[in-house]
Amino acid sequence: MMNNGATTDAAVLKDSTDSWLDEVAACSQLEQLEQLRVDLLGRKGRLTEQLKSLSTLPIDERRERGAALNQQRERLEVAIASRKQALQNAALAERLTNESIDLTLSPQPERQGRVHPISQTTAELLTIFRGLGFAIGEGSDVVDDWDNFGSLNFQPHHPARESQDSFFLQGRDANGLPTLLRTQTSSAQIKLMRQFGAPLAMVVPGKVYRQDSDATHSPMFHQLEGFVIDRGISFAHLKGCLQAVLTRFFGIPDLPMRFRPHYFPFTEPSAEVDIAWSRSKGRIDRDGDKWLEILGAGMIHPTVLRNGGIDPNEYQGFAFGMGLDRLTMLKYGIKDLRPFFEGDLRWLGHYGFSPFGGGS
Amino acid sequence: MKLTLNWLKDHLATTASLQEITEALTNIGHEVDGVVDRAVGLADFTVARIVKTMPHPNADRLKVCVVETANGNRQIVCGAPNAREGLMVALALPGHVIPATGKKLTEGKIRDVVSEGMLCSARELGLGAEDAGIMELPSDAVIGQKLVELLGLDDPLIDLDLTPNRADCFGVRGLARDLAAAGLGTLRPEQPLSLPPAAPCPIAVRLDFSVEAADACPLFTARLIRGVRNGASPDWLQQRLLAVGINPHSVLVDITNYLNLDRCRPLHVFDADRLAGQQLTLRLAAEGESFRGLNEKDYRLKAGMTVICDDSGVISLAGVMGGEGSSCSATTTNVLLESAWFDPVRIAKAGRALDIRSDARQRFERGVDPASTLTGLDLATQMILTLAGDDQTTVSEAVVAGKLDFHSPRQIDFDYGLVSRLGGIDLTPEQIGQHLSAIGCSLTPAKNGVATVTVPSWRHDLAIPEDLVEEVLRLVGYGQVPAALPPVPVMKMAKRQPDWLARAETARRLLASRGLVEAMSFSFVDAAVAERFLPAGRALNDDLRLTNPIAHDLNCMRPNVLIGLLQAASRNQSYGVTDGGWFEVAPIYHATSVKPDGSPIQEMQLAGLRMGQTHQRHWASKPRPVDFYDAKGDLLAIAAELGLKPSALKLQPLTDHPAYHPGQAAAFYLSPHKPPVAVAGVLHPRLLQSLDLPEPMVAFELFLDRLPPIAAAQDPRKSDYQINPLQPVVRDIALIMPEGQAVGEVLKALEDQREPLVSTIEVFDVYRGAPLAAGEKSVAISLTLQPQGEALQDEQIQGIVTKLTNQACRQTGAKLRA
Repeated sequence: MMNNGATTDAAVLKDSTDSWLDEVAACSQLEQLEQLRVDLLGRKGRLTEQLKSLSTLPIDERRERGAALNQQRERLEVAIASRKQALQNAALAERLTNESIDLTLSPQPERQGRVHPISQTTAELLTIFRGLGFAIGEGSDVVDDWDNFGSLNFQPHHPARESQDSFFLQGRDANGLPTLLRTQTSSAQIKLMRQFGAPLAMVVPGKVYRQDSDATHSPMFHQLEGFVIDRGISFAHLKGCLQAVLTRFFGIPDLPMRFRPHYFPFTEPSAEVDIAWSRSKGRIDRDGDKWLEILGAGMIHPTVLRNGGIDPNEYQGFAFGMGLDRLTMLKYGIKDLRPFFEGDLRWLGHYGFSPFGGGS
Repeated sequence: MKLTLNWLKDHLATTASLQEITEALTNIGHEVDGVVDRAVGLADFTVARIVKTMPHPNADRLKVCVVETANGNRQIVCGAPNAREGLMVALALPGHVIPATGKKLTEGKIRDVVSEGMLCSARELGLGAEDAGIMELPSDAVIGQKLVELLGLDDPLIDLDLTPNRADCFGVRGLARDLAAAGLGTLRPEQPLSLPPAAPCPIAVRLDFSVEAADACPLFTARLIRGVRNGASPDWLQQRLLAVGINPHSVLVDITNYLNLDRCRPLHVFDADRLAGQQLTLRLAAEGESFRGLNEKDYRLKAGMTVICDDSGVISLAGVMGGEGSSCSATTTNVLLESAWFDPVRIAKAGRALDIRSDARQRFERGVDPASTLTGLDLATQMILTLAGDDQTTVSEAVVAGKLDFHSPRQIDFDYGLVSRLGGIDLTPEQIGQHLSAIGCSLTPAKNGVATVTVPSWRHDLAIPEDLVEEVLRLVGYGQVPAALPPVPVMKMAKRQPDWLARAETARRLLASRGLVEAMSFSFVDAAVAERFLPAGRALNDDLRLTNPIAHDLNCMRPNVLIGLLQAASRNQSYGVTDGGWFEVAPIYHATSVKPDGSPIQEMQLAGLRMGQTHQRHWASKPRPVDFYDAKGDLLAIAAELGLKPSALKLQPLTDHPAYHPGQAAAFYLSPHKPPVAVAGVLHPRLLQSLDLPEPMVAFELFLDRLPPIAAAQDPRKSDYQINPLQPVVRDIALIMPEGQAVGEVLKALEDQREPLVSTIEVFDVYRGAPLAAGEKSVAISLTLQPQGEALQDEQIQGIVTKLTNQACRQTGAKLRA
């Protein structure tokens, strides 16, 4: 009897478990599942009530039935947890599906800023010169006759002055001569020599001005002046220095360049430096059909050293002045000089540099 | 300076090719600008003669010509009005390419009449612009002769860019001499002259200068030549002049022009019959004296210019230009030839003052060989006799005023070692001596390595030993000097670069990454626009106006970089680009000299400008017009990147700057006693209107030189990082204040209490509208409290917030919003 009763009881239990498991499996919503969990396993749940009623049973029956009920509860708990996980997964999957977006639309727009090509060139050259140990100096754009001509050994009324068609200002200097816009960055030399004395290795970037305007000339353009003054500096050092700098700047080993004699009142001997250029290829080329002038240079004239307070019997030096606009055009393949100064956003967008030097 | 190859070879005996010669010219300092093959495209054309012309049966304006060629007669149809029997013409045959059109000539019929060639005009051959008809060749031309040969075009033209120090090379012979010195051949000896016996010159010359002005003309020579015919020059002379761009005039004038180019010897010819009196006087002009030049222009002379006078007054502006009244014409038979030496400085001043650019001035101001004065006179006399004289022609003796030997040769003590020390190349004294001798120097034997070098009369540019080093170097070739890296001296310099430079580099990268494009604009601007940028009460400094601007609207030095950026904006608007922004780092100008108070000539300004919409239309982000806060944002971003604390920049409304909106602009100060370091604002509608620019435009300015100096030796170590385990607490307050009151006042009142636990104070909302009264705004502020050491209790937090708020309200009149 007791056995029969137990058997029957177990069968009843199994039946109820199966039906409850079916109920769990049938839950399609998390809320429904939670409701079922409370209904079965909550404080007043159906299974909980049965567990509570165990105390009314005789001790033997209580143990046996208790074990069965607990086992049943565990199965239900596992089933509910598993069903909950499945429903959560399904819910997340549905949410993710609903959250799909059009990946092809553009992100938040940002303006493309640009660094001017001449700034880029200047920064590149200054990096090279800093690496060689040069300091960087400055001079003013507005100068007097002595700064621009007299101190640099231009004789009064010499035609050499006219080759640099100056812009004059209404303001007059201490000698009553009109002040002017510097025609070359060399005009900063004397003051810097007097300020720092020898030995000295310095570059001076800046704006210069001449009365000229066409595709390759602008009334304002940019130069980088450099000079090294020490004992024993010779023309060989001038060549070595410029070769090193220009090779690095253009990134061309064995840069095809030549030094040829020229005349500047402030250097003796004087030179101009050309690089070989191919008109058809539009770039620097050893087998090019043309030499392009890129800078003027020479050994600083003893009169200029003296004007700078430096004894030419003790010190010698070389100086050079390179056209930054020209170098920019040659390195980066820019053909017309005028747009450099027009602020055309389309042009600058094309020829300018991204802020950190990447891109085009 | 232009010359032809054959002209050069008159003086230089050489086997060198054209290319070798041009390379050598450049290598010794006479840069070849270009070589023009004047025969290019003309090789096929030959000389022919029109034997007979007949009317064209089908066209009134055409003629049918029978033309004699080297290969028999041809029938050619021609429309030129000047086609006539007996004329020597330029012939093109079928298959020849006509230079002006680039088309190949074909044999065919013109209005049904066969034409077996073409008679060419100068324009069709690329030889001239005029096209009055076919070319009329000289009657003594030979049928079948190559046209280029007849016209002397088979002689390449060399264009040189001479340096102003080498006056001697402004003559073809000087260039030949320099090439010979460089080993390109030998200088041909001068042809001996054979002047006929002469009578004394009837015309006297007087140098009438004070002692101080005696250098104006130390030597003047002249000669009277009677019985010349001043017709056209022979073809060779005309062709030479034409080749270098000088129009032939008459034989006398052509000879002076020719010798000027050939020998760098300026000369002048007076028609002796047009001179008044028997004496020429050289003197300095008086102020205001008038003179009519050969170019038929009247000049008012300035005191101190050197003039040549006869009894009638000034007849020549010495060394610059002859006078119209005494010039030679076709009827001239008696000529007074002049050869002199004039002071380069006076010539340059006179030429510049009167704006006369003549070949004579160009040479005299560079320094003509003084020794060529009399030899030049003789050479020109010989040429006049040969080309314009006959057996009736007579010459006078030369009249010489001044001293023939006024110019003493210059001597330089030359240390041979300087070639190595300065030039960087090791040469033996023999090698050095040979190079110096080659250019005409004479050297004494060296004593202790030092020789005395006597410089030739034509090389006045050689004055110091360094000049001789250059001579040696350029003849050896600059390419032969070895290259060596200089030992860069170690300098004890406080700063290795200007502060602004490092700051500009940082700002440049930052602003470009914020979407601004770097511009570079001219330093000169329109004064009328510049005036609109001056702070109230300041006028444009007239010193900074240009006396010779390149354009009328680039007539003064800019007081503000923004002017250039606004011009860029204007240009871009015209291209249809209406949104975007620029920045520029450049000097602005204050004066032309440093003032006694030390205020600078110029200072570096960083300026930025934004226009139009913040960004292009976008599906997720609505663009809006740029406003004050965009400019302020740019400015504060740079300030932060340059290490300036935001609290260090004191903001003041900028209400009276003509370029800025009086209610939407601010100046920023580091010190109340100094000028502002920065400005940001919306540009004034009136300014934009005057520049025809649309609103809105916003701008900022940062004065880089007004920032504190960068410490020379900064301690690179950062302070220790303190980890605070306690979380910050945020409390929000809302204050009601009048619309006209600046939020900054409240913020300042809060900050000034310096509550140590408050780490940040931020405005996160400004609200207007119901339930607030009109003219009120509610400002929501978040206070972040950072506990130190121990966590804060609610009462503590509330206490701090209440205390701060009450104090700020008391101070500013704001009310706490309930």
